[in-house]
Amino acid sequence: MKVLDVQSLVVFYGKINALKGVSLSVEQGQFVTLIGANGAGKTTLLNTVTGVVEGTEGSVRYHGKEILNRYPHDIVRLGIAHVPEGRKIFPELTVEENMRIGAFIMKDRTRVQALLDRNYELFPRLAERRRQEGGTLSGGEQQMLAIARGLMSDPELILLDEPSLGLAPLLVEKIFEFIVEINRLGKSILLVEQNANLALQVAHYGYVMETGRVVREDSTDRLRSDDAIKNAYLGIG
Amino acid sequence: MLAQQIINGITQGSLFALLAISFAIVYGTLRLVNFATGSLYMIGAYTSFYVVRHVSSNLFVSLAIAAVVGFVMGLILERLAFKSLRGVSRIASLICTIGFSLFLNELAAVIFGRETRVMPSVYTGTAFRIAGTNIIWLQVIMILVAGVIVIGLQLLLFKTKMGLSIRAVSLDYKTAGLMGINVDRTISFAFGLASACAGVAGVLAAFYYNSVFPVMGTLPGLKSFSAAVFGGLTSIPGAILGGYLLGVIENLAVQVISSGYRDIVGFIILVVFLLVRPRGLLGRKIPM
Ligand SMILES: Nc1ncnc2c1ncn2[C@@H]1O[C@H](COP(=O)(O)OP(=O)(O)OP(=O)(O)O)[C@@H](O)[C@H]1O
Ligand SMILES: [Mg+2]
Repeated sequence: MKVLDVQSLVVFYGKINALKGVSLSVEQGQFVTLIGANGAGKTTLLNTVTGVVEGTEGSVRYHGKEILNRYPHDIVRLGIAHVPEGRKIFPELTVEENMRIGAFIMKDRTRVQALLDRNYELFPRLAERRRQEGGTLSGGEQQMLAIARGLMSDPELILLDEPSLGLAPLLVEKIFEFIVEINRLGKSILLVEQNANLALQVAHYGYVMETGRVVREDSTDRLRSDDAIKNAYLGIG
Repeated sequence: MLAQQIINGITQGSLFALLAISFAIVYGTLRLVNFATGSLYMIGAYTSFYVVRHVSSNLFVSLAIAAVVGFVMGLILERLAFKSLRGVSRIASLICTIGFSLFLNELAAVIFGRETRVMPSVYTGTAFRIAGTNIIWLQVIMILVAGVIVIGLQLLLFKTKMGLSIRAVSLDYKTAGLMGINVDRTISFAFGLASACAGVAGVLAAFYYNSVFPVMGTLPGLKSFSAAVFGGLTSIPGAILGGYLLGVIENLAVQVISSGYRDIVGFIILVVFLLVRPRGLLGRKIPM
């Protein structure tokens, strides 16, 4: 069953045609990755799904329901969390305030507390630093916070935009372990990555984008062993 | 005499502080200066003029009604000057607030007349004496009202969900939206809140100076804008400090120099201060 189903999505920034008819889908419980070079349109795709950017044509369905061009604050209520590019944590708010803001849509306090406990358990580093301002965390911790904050809305589908950006290799692996763990807990995942090597190792299915189009899609096993992909994205030929 | 001027300064500073807060809230959430703030103050003052005539001469009734009127005016202004122009350009919104201000002032002149209307004197009894100076109840009430609003705002901003929304939107509205915060509604609310502050200040001014007239908000608006800039423009505590400092400094200047220079003293201090410290007193890159 498809959780997310994007069909022939077209997006313009003024005259710039950033998406030229992109189709992509995520099945229930699936871990999907979207790779591609700088400027391919990966962030634009995520932003259009969550209503940050307006789409001109095509459709975005969530559980079969059209959600294209809905407000971001409505999308998150449907069960889609977006962990944006560059983390975008609130640096002046404490770790805990950041987490609580992630649960903004929750009315039930005990549920928020339960989510808080669960996510602190998942990210003990954040629990230790809960009173600290978000901006004082290290890059890796900030990324953990961004992911944990996304989890606080108890989403069904999580969109992650380059969580490895600017992190040391060891930390990247750590972050990826978390993502795999989150997927194992039952969340469907759409991961945008430039680190294709790692992304294709952990995800089930992959899409490759080039200048506003999906140029390849396949199971990650097959993508990994594809010569063209190896040459262009994996740096091994 | 000196004590008298300081007391007058603090009282007047309460008005500046409320207006400066109004500037700071709007700037904090929208990164825009609302030059119609002085006109919202004027509308608050006229509201009290008519409330006194037709409803009740009680100052607090005026305050409550003017706060509501200010809030609604703020929502209208926000829709016209900001929401409809959002994403067009900042300058367009800025000019729109100036236009709105002139429009409101003219409208007031047409509807209410250009002449100064007289307000009744209330709470003129002496509350207590300090250093041979009489402090009247109205002054005490003004300072208390400003204090209550300031504390109320802090509670709202830091203890409520709406406050969290306002802070999040002012820090990063895009990400705030992703968290499920209704950005448009939050901005409207903040704008209404800011306008209500200006309206309340207008009521206090009407009773304090016993007069209302269409352009009464222009000078206080400009002065408190400088007070807000002095305080850092995005900081509410800064705005409060700036407002009170301006009130006291102005009144002391009257004493030391001459009353003719009263209106420019604040601006001179502002310019000199900003040359030394461009961020303002408590200004950070961070709002509120
Ligand atoms: N706000 C914007 N205004 C105009 N053009 C934009 C805007 N955002 C993105 N673009 C353009 O749209 C195209 C796709 O950008 P996008 O950010 O989606 O790429 P990306 O695949 O996420 O790249 P990266 O890997 O560098 O993050 C690029 O050509 C970019 O310059
Ligand atoms: Mg990107």
